[in-house]
Amino acid sequence: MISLSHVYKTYPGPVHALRDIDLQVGKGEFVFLTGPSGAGKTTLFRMMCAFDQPTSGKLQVGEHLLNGITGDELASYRQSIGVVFQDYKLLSNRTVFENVALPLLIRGDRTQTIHSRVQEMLERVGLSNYAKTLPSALSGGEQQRTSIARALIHQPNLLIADEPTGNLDPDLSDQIITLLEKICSQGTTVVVATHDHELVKRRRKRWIRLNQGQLEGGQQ
Amino acid sequence: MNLRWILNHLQASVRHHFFSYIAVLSVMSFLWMVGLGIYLSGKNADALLTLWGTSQEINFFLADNVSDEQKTKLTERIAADPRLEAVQTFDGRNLIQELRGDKEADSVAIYNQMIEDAELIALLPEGIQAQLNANFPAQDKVHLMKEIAAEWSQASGIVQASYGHDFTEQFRSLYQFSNLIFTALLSFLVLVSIVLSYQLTHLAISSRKSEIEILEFIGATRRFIWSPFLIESLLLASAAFVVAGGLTYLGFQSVQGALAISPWTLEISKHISNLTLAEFLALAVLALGMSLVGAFLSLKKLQAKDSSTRRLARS
Repeated sequence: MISLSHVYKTYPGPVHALRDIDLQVGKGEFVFLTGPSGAGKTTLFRMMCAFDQPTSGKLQVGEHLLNGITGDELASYRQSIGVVFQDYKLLSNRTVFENVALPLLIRGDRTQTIHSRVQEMLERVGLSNYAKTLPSALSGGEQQRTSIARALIHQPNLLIADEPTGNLDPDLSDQIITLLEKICSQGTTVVVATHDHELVKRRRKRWIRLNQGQLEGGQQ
Repeated sequence: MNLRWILNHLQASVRHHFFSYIAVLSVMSFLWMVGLGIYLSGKNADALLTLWGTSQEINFFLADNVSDEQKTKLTERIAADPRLEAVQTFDGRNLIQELRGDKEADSVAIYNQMIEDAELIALLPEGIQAQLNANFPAQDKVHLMKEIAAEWSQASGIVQASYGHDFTEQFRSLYQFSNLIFTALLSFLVLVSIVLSYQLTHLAISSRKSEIEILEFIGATRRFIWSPFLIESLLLASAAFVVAGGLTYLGFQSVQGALAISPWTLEISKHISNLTLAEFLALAVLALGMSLVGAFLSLKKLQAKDSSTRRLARS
């Protein structure tokens, strides 16, 4: 599903954010990407989402080669994945329903299809009573669930989450990770970048550790 | 593109930038009203020139030594010119009668005395008067008069062929100069409307940077992101053009009404014309096109400068 081969990322300075990363993530896998702050987790997350590109090396997700991807192909790739951000990145002037419906709107689905699928997804993440609520009226956990619902509404094969529990208390964090595991069990590949070691230990999933831009080890 | 999405976009824009929108709408309406006024002036200046040109006569002034026989032959030759019609001779009496016109009673008495003054009449020039053939297109007539006058002034027995040459030339050069000014002004207005539209879209984009960023993150195509901005610009331009068109129409009607009151300007009021529907639509397409160009340029700049990839790379 995800294949990185000798991937380097260097920012002007030069700052070597990633160095010689080789990584394979199979279809339907659940993977934690861990490491301390500044280890390169977010850089890797950005590259997997095609928000950024490798300086060298090859990065492929599914059938999309992300090196040099632009324009319509880039939009098409981003439509094919689900992304969850630490700061949720919800549209503040749109309701929960409208936020969750966005990927379907972008894809050009019919209004009736959008309506039924969003209702169904909101029920799945426990937000059906908040459809007409603005994100600012929701708690952190509810906003993150809205963000997850938006990331899953178009049934992506890959879900990438950057510190999805970073702003949440431990209970809520567990709830969110449980939700992501449930999604994974239905066939979606899930990659979660987090610096929360306790959370990773508790879950007994595959984890990959980054340190100073290099893969340091991991556990299957 | 979902209609509700666009409506929400427009609603939010109006809510956040209401006063900016009103200001831009007012300035755009004013600019296009000036533009439409300039277009109408150009259009009717041509009509007025034609009207004036067609009403003119050509006078062929005869030399002092021309006999009556020569005068008759010249008159026949001029009458035979297919470009001319209504050929007639005139002398001092006709000139004084023409000058007398419908002047006040006191002046008329003086002119009547002058007509009876044989010595004075003998001093005044004699000549042949003609009008251009009515079959020629009106817009060609001023040019034709110039050509005919130049040709016939070479004929033996004719000392001068006059058609109000200086006035016509002045009028024409003034018209050409004003056309130049009008074209420059219209070009300037087109440029200003592009800049206005550019700035408005820029303002709308600035207040929605994070929204655009999020849309890019979740795979929105350029068409999806740009459409609401382009539609917004188009709607504002349409509203401004309708206001400008309406005010220009009313302004023209009142000018035409004012001209129709006086017998001196009645003829003019009949010959000037308002915008036709086709002209209005063509100008509307131009105005809306310019707005779209402005909005498009602003969006292109956004794409070049602020793509999410580059912004994230910098952060």
